[in-house]
Amino acid sequence: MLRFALRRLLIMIPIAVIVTFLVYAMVFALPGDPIRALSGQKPLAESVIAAKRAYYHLNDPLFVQYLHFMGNLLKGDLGQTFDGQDIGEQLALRWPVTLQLGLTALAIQLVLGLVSGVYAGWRRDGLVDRALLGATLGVLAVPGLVAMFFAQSFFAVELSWFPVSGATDGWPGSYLLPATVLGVLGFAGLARVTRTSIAEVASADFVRTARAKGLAPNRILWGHVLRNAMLPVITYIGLDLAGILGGAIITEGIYNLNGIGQFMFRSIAMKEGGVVVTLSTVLLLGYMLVNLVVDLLYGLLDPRVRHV
Amino acid sequence: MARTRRIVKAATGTALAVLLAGCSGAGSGDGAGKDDGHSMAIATAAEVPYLNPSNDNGTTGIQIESALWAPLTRVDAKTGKLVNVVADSVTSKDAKTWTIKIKPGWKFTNGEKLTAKSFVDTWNYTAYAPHAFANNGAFQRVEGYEDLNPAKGKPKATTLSGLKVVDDLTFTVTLKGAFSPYPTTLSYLGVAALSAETLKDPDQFKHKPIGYGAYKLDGGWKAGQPVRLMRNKDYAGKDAPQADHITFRFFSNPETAYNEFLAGNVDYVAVPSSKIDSYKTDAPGKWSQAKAAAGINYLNLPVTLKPYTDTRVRRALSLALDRDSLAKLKPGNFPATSFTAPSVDGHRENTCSDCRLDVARAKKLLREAGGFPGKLRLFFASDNPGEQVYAEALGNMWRQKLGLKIQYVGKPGAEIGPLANAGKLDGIRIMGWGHDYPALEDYLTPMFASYGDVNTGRYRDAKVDRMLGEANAQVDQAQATRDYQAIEDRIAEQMPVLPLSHSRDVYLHAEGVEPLNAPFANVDPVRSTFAD
Repeated sequence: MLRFALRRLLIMIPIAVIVTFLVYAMVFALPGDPIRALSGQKPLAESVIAAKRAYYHLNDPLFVQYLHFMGNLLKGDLGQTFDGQDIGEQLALRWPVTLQLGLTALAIQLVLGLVSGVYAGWRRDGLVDRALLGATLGVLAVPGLVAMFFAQSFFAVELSWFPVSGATDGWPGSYLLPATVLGVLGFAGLARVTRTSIAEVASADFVRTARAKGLAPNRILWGHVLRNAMLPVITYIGLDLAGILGGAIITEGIYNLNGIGQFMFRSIAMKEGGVVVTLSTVLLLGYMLVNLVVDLLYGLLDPRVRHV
Repeated sequence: MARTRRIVKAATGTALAVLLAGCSGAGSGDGAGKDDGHSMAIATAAEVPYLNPSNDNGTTGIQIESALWAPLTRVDAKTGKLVNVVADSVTSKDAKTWTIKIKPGWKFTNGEKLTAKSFVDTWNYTAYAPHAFANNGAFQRVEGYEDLNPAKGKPKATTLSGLKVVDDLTFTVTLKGAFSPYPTTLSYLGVAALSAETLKDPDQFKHKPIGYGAYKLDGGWKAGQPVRLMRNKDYAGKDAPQADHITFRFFSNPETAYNEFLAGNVDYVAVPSSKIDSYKTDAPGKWSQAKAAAGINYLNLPVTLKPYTDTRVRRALSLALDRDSLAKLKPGNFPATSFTAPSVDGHRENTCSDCRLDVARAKKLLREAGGFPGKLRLFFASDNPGEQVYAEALGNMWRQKLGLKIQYVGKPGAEIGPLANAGKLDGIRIMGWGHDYPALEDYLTPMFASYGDVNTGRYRDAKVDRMLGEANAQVDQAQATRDYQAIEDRIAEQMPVLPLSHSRDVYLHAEGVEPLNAPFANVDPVRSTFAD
């Protein structure tokens, strides 16, 4: 298992290099000149543009720019955005915001999705199962953007239960509303996967055998069904984490949370190749790590896919 | 020539940005005297990376910096006349060499005295190309600018030869040529002074602004966080606004800012274009429209290409437009009847005799000119919401009233700009322009001089160029205004552009908080008055 983990970690290196270059090239290929776009309505003096282009190596070919960027990155120097913000400082300010939002949303989603999914799958065709079907269909049908704006104007503006936006109240106050919306929107898929998986395992031969032997229903569920039903669920959660971080771009915009998502959005708009690559690399590595953990969990859950 | 102009794309739906000195008016109220704890929160659109007026030409940054610094001169919001703030006098005998005296007793918040040297040092620093400061271009009229900003190679000098310190409170500025609106350009906050401490290493003071304005930072600040300001007790100006505490909150999403206003958490917000149908019912009694319209939306014609070379064709195109209907397509817009903005001193209505709907006359002129062969190409920014609808409305008017064939060319704004600058637009372009400093000249030169920054239609009239030179050299400001008006009259005969509309921002403000709103200044929440 250790060798498997190490091998997977080593594979991450070439993948990271390839992905960073691809992302960098894609940002490079976006139309428009980042320095000219910098001040938007009021163009800068030509001499200032020239000075800025030289500072950011913008006159060099793509590959040279990329090497400059990677060289500085390896030296631990993240540099400055085109409008003069210290990228390292911004990341330090913003990561906690996104992590708090993402993890809170994930926690809400897990609790909602697993509890309802397990219950509905175990008591298939019962009242809860049917209600869940309706609820998940409803949630899946609502566009995320609509739900976010609705929740904001109803729960925050009308009822004043939550702050409207911003992170000034800290955790949990500022994060509760957006995280709940994200969590509720994301719970549907998880609940459906869990429910189907549980229902399927519940009708498997070994469960019938356990029943026939007179095992208590609770022990059958917790000791046998759950463990066997978790494989697809874990896979789903791993994939879903990426979805939550992707959703953060929209959520952070609407709830004015100054996190990575907003930084990413602004950086793409400003053609900040360096920032976009740094952020996507971190996201990519995080994603790969999560998937590694998922793969390792497979082994724990099901000895047949244990890695050697 | 370096470009330091501001181009506002006409159809963005957002109002012309607040910028420049025009954004503050004569002191309203005597807020400095009392301290009953007026505080307000202002929602702003963009996030500012740092606070430094010399290195900032964005609307939001300049707005915050206008509270932390003070301009040399300012246009009175009610009368449109120039008044002195930090400056004691700005005088010249020939409109070329200007003597600027500043008032005594002004101090930076770090205790340094504000002197003539502060200005000269800051201006030299800003004008030096390798420093890459955003307001570098504000000094392009000063003698010696090219030595600091060569087209190629390294700068030959680090200081502008046109700047001289005379004594503690006096300095002189020698321009490359006579320029009578110069005192008005000093109302731009981008020519405020930085402290000597800041100039030693500006990077150290990105988030620790040292100004001499009516406010200073309240506590620390980091980029991305709200900016909190408190009253600067040492402010030497007589025009301090009433608010004792001001918080600027940044919202990347305008709808979110709007919701925060409805929840009562911010006291001022601009109405986002998506809420233009609902703001009156969402916030009854709490919305206002700006009195000033600081800009102009117009159509740029490629006057060097056939058939646009014929003045009769240009006039016919103008006379076929129903400007009232067009203005209704854009929030806060009203029809334009002249070539300058109503919020500028010296502006006159109805200078454009062809800015009215007269289809019979349009048809007659077009017939005399021999018709419009081929298709009229109409360029619009496809990434601007609403611009396609606007373009089609324009096209339909020409199609229905004059029988022209229209070809719509939608391109991202980022592509149209460079095409136009390269002189490669073979059609009509929807444009907008807002002044850098509130002067007639700042419409006439950029739009109509042969060397004008936004004259992408390549209009060239030797007489206009000559008249501009003469008006710029006119020391008597009243006479200069009349000279500029004469230039506008000549342009109206030739119609190189077709004026369309001006816009007035709509904004929301909390009960008891009245942002400065006057005919000659953009709406300024910093200078709000409070009902007690």
